[in-house]
Amino acid sequence: MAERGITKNQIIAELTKSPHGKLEEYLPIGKQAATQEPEFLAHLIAWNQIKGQIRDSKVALPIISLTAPMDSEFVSNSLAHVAMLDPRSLVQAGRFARSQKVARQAMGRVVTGYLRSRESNWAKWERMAVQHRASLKDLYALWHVKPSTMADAILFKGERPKGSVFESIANLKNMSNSEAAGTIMERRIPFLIAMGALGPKAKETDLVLALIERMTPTELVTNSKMLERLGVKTVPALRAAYEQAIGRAASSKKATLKTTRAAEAMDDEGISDKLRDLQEKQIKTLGGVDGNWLVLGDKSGSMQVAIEASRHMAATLAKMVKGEVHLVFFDNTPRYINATGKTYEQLLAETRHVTAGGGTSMGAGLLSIVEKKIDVDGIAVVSDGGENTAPAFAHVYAAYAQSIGKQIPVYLYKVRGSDADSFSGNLKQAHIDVQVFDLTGGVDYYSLPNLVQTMRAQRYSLVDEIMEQPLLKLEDVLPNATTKGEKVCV
Amino acid sequence: MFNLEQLKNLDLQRPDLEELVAMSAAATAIHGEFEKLSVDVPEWLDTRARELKREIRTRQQDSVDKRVREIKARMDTLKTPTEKRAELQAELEKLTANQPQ
Repeated sequence: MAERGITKNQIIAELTKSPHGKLEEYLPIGKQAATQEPEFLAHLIAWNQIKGQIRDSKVALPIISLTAPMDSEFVSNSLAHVAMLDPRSLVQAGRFARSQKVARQAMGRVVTGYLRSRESNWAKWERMAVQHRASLKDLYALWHVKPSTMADAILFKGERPKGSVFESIANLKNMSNSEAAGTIMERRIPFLIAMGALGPKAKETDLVLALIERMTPTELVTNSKMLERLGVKTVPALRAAYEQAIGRAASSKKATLKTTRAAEAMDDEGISDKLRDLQEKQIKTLGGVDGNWLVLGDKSGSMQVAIEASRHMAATLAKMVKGEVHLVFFDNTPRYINATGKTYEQLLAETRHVTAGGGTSMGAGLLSIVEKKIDVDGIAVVSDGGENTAPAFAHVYAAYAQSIGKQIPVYLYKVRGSDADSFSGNLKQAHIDVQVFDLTGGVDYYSLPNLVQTMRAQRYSLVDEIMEQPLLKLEDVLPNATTKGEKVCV
Repeated sequence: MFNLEQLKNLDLQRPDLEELVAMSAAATAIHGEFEKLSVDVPEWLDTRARELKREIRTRQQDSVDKRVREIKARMDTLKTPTEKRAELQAELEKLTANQPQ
């Protein structure tokens, strides 16, 4: 039997993983991609840097790409993306590269160039050292880079030069509340650092206000519970600070996946509502998906997880697509819901009586759209793929595609169930392309926006979009560190 | 996009200040149109318009409170050691003066 090559869609699907620091999970597909599709992987790394939401993929993919022999242009692109990481992620990338025995010399040059370029700009270095002190120490030590005199004094000898931000941080606990708050804002001391330096004083109103001002969108969202305790609903000045911080976070693409989780953890309904609203705005900021979409949710026996995932999928699509969203729950018979513009809560209320039971006929779900003469541009099926009842999806799809005069992309969000996935096989037999997102390890509802972001109404438009993303050169990011045309693979 | 249902089922927690102002403007315009057409203004409309105006005022006041605290905090960072010493001295004198002999 001939060996099957990896598809670009399989590589793209890697971006939707959320391995929580276990970078090895990217290795199986990543290594194949590096060998079989090095150019696509290079562009994907560049695209992911801008559009991606999962930090682990930004750390792992450039390193994995270096495990195979590659054109020097792609090597330079991978190293350039490594050099764009923050110090903490760069330490993680360095350790991962060492564990894979890859690009040791090139990584050494990147880390050296990275540290030297930061040292050459004191203000930038100081800011970075405030936030990433431990990671910077690791970088100097792990890669045997001799620190500059100032870096050595501050990082390794614990000195705090007079008038520096390090002195201000050390003095925060001795200042009056008002002065400490002013110092945090004036010197732009990061939230976590200020919080640690203040100790119990951090609960004072002036200081909470200053801390809110210095929180990143992610910190704001993940610390909402603490802020709730500290009075963001009851103290007028804090209420205003929180309100303004939420406004700033609304345009952020960073905390999207965490906002719903934070909202659910809230006791105060007002804050919870505010966070849900924030997430809706953040998802909109992520950018749109073209076309009208159909979500087919499997409600056959034991598919309760698919019902819940379908609601989330439809709600996420409803925020991200520019067209209409139709949700159809199916077992042997379909149940149609127009999900356009609806929130998860609205869909939950509308579908609260939908329960799992019956056979599985994906074709019946699609047929309901055909009968309603609804024109869709993409189909997302949430199921275990255990298609066992007529009409078969492939048959209905063929007739539907002919009637509307176009082939529509099909995405299978494969959840855990009792039946084997016959659906993907049936579609392949019928020469219908299906992209499978494997969620059998558990559905992380909060990563759905990331999955949805990779869905496209035109079959190859995402691939085209990725290929159009320009590659970076290491010298653009670090003018002093080049790959010198060196072969970096092991 | 604004819709009438949003105004009827007003949730004051979710919208930001700009959205509240937009809704308030819409409520005022709808109110005016009812009057212009000599149709009885529904009770809910007046109630919502009042709630919106109150919430906008509260948020404005909150912002002023916040800014006042910020300015005071910034001013405190500008004090010289002499000024700080003078303040501490004054506080010390006040405390000792109040102590029973």
